[in-house]
Amino acid sequence: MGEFLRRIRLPLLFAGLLLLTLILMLSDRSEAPGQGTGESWLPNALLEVAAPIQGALSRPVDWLGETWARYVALVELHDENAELRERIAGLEEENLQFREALVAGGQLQRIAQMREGFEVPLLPAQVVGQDVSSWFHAILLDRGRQSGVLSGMPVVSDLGLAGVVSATTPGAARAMLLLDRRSAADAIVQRSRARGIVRGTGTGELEFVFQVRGDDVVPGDVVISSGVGGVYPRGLRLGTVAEVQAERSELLHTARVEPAVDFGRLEQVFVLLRRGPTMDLLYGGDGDLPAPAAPDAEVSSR
Amino acid sequence: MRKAAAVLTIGLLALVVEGALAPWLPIRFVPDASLLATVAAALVLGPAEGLVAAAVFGFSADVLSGTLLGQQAMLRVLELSITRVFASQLDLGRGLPLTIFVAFLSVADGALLVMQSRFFLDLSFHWAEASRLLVRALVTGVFATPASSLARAIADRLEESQARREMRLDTKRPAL
Repeated sequence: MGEFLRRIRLPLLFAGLLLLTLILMLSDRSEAPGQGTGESWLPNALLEVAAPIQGALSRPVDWLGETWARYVALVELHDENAELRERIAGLEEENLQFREALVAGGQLQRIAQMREGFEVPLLPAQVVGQDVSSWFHAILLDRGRQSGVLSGMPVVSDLGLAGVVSATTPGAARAMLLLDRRSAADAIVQRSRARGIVRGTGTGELEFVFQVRGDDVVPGDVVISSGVGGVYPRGLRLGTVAEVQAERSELLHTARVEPAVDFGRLEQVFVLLRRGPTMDLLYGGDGDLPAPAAPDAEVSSR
Repeated sequence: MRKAAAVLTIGLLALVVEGALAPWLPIRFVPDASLLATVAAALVLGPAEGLVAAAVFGFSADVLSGTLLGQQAMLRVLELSITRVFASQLDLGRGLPLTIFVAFLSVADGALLVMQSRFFLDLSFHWAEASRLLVRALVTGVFATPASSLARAIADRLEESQARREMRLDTKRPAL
């Protein structure tokens, strides 16, 4: 009996591990469509350990990059400076004209009221790690549940929408990027208000699937989130249409969209500390913000 | 046991370092640390220790990346078994055969991950990604020899120190 058990020990271990991985995959898939909630202790512990190490490792590289950018790569700085000054002057002029127009239309007060209603606290977070698998796109953030971050909260950068938090631990969080094949956001074209879905293709670009109604999507159009779907707030920049693919026989057309966010160079992002109703339903909870830990939460408001 | 712990620690550290450096390097030029650690474990550790180490590497990669929990763990367990089968037929201790083998294994890993993703997540595959996969497979293959050499060197050193310790125990015995 002992000899028999020793002989089947390896096949048993092999089969047991395969079965375990299969069960884990099935349970992870059923937790949320494409996203783990990160509630089990072992993945949490691993994330919790990995985040500070990755943060510590990324600091010297950050420092090197910053030093290079500040002190070494100063070629053409003078020209760039002049160009930027010119642009600022232009933008100030444009801003003034807009304000004048808004005041004239009596809209300024209404917009201020609307912003108050829409106000979402933003939590700055550092990107300390990135997914290195070829097929999926995720980042590791140095803020977690202690700072009020919950699964399902949108993640933005100064350039636009970056993704959504997919797992959290007390001190870290993992966010699935918009580039990931499982990502999708209801979107509109800012110019023509054509509506569709922006999806990650996994290749570093986005795909905008829209219903054909004349030529209402052209290259150069800016695509923003529509707010429909209850995941992302309205008005976040997603990208710019690079090419409309001609599939005239179909009702739905697709366009290639260049992301607004440079995902390869994400260093700091902001977590919107309020998740949409769909994510609330998906992950449970009443949507109230958990109290952020006092010293840790540098919350800014938009 | 010490050998397994050392290989596990180095493999996990490589995974974390890889994740930290990933924002500054294009993914296609970053070798698959988890796969390299699995191959090294297959060549250096015993079958049972190797299986457990492979599962741990895959599981950690799942946690640090956006894959389903268990997705890469399953692939690593299969890849360890494949490596052990090939190692009994080919001389994977030499540089070129190991490089070629790991490059092919990396392509197979990508293909299996796509199949898993289609089955479990209903995700489609874009052929544009095939070139990226091939480049990454080559890079992973190139890194295979240094990675397994490092693992073997550490294992040899640990075995040597263990042997020395056992010899030292004998010195207190009375002379015959």
